[in-house]
Amino acid sequence: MLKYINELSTSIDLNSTRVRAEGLFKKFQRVVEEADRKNAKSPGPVSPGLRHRRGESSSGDSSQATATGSAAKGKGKAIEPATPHISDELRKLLSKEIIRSQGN
Amino acid sequence: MNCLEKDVHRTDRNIPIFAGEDTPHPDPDSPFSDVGTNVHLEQMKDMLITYNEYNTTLGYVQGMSDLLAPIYAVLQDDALAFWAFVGFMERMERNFLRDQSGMRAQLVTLDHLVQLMDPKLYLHLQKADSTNFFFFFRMLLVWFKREFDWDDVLRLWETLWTNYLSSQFHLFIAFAILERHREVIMDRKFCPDVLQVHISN
Repeated sequence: MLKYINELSTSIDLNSTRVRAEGLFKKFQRVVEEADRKNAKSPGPVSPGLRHRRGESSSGDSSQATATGSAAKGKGKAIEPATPHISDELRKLLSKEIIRSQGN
Repeated sequence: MNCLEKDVHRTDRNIPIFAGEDTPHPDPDSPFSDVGTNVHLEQMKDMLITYNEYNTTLGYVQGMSDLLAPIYAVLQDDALAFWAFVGFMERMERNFLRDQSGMRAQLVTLDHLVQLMDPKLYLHLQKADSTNFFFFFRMLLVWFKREFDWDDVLRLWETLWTNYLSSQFHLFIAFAILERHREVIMDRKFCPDVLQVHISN
């Protein structure tokens, strides 16, 4: 089955792919900026199910955090969605520095 | 050097510069001794053998010939092409590490990206157990060499080499390819193999 998959070679349209990729990048940039802005204002609970940086202590008991928890404090009727966590790997996407192998 | 020679003999043979078999094979002991070769295939082998010596930590790994072929086809000078290839390999070497750590890092990043930007699609892929994104492996390994036409591969690589927006823009290209098939993926129950077939189409 894998051999069959590897031999398929119908090509994808490049220009529409590049345009879409650039749009996704710009959107990603905005999402990160928004998350950083929110975290700067009020570090809140991290969305359940999203990855945590290893060793980082999240504010509160994030494994139990829900959108109806402390994030809703003082926000009136609207329940504010938890701010997404931006991993180190994701942050590297914003860099233009080439990632090289460590060697060996 | 069997792997190296095998790779060269099956890389881009549909491209005119690599197509011919007008030269008898110089080495009677080679498994390809009864198959013809041509001056450019022999140049490819020489450059890759040189790279195998030059890169003392990793040497030649299957797939590297796919990265050299477009460079040599454009430059058509073996010395220039060799050093351009060395430069290219500085960023691509991590794809070929034996412990797969370089590939894993990119696949994890892609995983985080989809989770962040398209959680609905991510959930669906999780249900289909496709979140290891193995089907992107070949695409990332040789920078979409098999996914696009030859001319488009050249254009795409030129784009990626500029590091415009990001030094890992290729991951957004991968994400864009995934997004293009979003509706179809969400509408049907895909198992990983079928998903890969569909995206390859």
